[in-house]
Amino acid sequence: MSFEYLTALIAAVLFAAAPLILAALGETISERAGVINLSLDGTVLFAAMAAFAAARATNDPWLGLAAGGLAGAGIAAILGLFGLILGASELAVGFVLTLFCRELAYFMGHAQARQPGPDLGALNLPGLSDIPLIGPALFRQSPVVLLSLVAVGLVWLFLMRTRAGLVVRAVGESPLAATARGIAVTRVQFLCCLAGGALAGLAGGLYSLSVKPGWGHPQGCEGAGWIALAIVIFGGWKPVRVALGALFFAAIQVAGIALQDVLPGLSGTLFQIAPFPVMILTLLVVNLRRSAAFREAARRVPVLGRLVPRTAGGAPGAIVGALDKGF
Amino acid sequence: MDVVLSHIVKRFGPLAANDDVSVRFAPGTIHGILGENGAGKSTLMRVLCGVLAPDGGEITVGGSAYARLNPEAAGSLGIGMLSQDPLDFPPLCVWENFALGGGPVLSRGQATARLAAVCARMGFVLPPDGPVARLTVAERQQLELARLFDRDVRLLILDEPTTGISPAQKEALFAVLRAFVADGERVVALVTHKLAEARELCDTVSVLRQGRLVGSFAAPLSTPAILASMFGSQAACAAATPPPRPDPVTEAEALVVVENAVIADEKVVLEPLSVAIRPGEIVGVAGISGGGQEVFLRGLAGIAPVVAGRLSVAGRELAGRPLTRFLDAAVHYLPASRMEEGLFPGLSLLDHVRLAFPEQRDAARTIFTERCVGRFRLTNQPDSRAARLSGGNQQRLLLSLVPDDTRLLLADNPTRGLDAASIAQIWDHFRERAAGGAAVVFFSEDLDELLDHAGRVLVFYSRALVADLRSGTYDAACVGDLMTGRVAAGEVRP
Repeated sequence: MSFEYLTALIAAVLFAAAPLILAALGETISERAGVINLSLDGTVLFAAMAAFAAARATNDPWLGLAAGGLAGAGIAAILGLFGLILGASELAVGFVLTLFCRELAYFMGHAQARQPGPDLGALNLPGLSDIPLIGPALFRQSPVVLLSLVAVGLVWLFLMRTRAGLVVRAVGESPLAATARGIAVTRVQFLCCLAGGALAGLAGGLYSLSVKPGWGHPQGCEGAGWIALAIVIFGGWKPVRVALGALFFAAIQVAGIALQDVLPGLSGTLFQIAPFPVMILTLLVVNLRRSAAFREAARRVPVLGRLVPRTAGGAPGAIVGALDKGF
Repeated sequence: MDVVLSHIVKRFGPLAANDDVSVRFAPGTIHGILGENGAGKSTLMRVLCGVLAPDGGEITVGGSAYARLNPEAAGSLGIGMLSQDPLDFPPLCVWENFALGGGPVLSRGQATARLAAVCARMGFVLPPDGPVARLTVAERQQLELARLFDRDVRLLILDEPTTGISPAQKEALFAVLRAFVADGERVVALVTHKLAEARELCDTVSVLRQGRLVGSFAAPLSTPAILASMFGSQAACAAATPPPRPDPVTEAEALVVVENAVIADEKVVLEPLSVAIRPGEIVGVAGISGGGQEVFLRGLAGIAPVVAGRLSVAGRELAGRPLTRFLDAAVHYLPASRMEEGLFPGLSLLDHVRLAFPEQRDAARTIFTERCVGRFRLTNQPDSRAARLSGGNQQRLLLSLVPDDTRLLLADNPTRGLDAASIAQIWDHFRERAAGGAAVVFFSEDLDELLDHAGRVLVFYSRALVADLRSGTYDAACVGDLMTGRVAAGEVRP
């Protein structure tokens, strides 16, 4: 394998993971506050349409991206209104919203289908781009990669190192205790839901303006929201691990494409669907190790027992049972 | 600070949890709120600290009257509450919990400095960087107290603070409370169902029964008068005389044999343990939270798997076998969370009978009338749903569904949250079972209750069985020290 090929692979993985990272980070913020936003997939798709339409109307891809973020926040506001303020089931509302947004996106985006439009282009930062291996992967490619990596740092910083982030985690762990300490629980949850929706909206924008440019039926980002939801569980609700999960998923996708060249005899469909079962199996392994009974049994297996990892963190208290099996 | 509750009314549907209750908390006193479970004590305190809005009456704090408070307002007036289950954030660090004190959120530097200051003043030891989930109940209480003291709380409410802590830890807590009111200005409201505790600590006492204020007493507190107001005059006599402690059974052949068994629950793995239990024994399992005593019960019940070693009941080898084998061997388990683990909230009581005795489905109505209503004094209609049962009736139904030929009955906190009459019935029933040749193994968070009813005590500490004590060879202080790890088993000599 040549050096250039490896660089290209790394660049491809980072590029494919960028919108997934943003969507999964958004869901992480939302779930850390105790709000499960199941409208994620619809949000990404609708925001992709909104971003592309706005970019064409203004001829500025960055304005288009902002419009995507706004659209995402708007959809999250609907979920927050019904789920948090009016007391409907946020799971049911989120699920219906995802179906609704999908239909709405294709209906409203009909005029944009298969039209040329602006995209976010590519960076070429002199000097930095010449760093071997990672230089071209980070700095001589679409700005979405840098954007997504910066977002990981910012979300981590916000959740783990700021006072506002501490309030968010407290609300998600125990709304009851937070209320008793005078924290406005619903307001915090609503704001986190909005922020999460905005990030998912930005992810939609990254798809239609860069990763899968343009609009059509079907858009290439369909299903990304569902994957992002799974990645949040995979990453144990920790921003950095969530980002690693997104990179892992992108890596199996890219590996599939690369393997297609190596094994031309196999059907292309196989490589397209392979990432999903691989993801499910990985999720299973990651979660199994949280069970003490499993670890105790596995520890007794010679040699393999030494590989049994330590415990991982569980779901935020407010959503335990809804998404997490409570291992 | 002078705080007065006047004519407080709080209803939940048709039930009046507080019915025209008036109490004055005078500055510089420790005021006890006494009553049995379900008397409305906690509801009254939650009204006082702003978590519940009352349906009537008013709260006067330092001369100003309020129709209702919210947690933020109560906090700024200097009212703070230590809940029975500490209302904290277990996965967060100690300093993070402290930083979310109720006012503006503190930075890390501020939080650790102020936590250290409070700890030094009160004599607490709380490492700021560990997660709260690793602390004992007593330490979590200290953290909550540190948070409240830091906010300069003036009226401190404690709801059953001695549940789940050892006698030594209780003494330390009481010393802190006495020091807290020593300035003659601050007030403590202590909610408890234990008269002995109130007598030890309180200057004045208000007694609640079925939501109403039925008596107010000032020190010196007289036991018979308070008992009479707590339970009514007749029940008081029964409550005042606990039944004799069962004698240890040493003859008979062992019914349950556990040898070097490793019990692994979902989160906890116990150290290998060995123990033998004979028919007719009533065994109390003591331990503080995290000790592993609940896991031990779940292991004997077949819910938590035994991954190594031996477990046999009446000669049948059960280690690693499925739950149905345990049921075949006549092992039955009463969970602590009755509604969540024991019952089907949406099914009728008759459905529960049909599920428990599947081969007698047609006779379900007869079984219900004769067994559940006749023998176990269940007072509900057969067609009502389990979700509507009171705590006492939930436990009566669960007990009536345990077959008569049960050989090993396991009970996790069988009397938690129940009224005095139900509690007495449950212990009578356990003694009957033991007299009939079954073995009963139970855990109770209430150490006094556990020692009153057990003929033998197994003490757990830090996920290991540390002591196996026979009736007459121990007292509460000694068991308390063992279950908090203050002494190792070898140091205890009868």
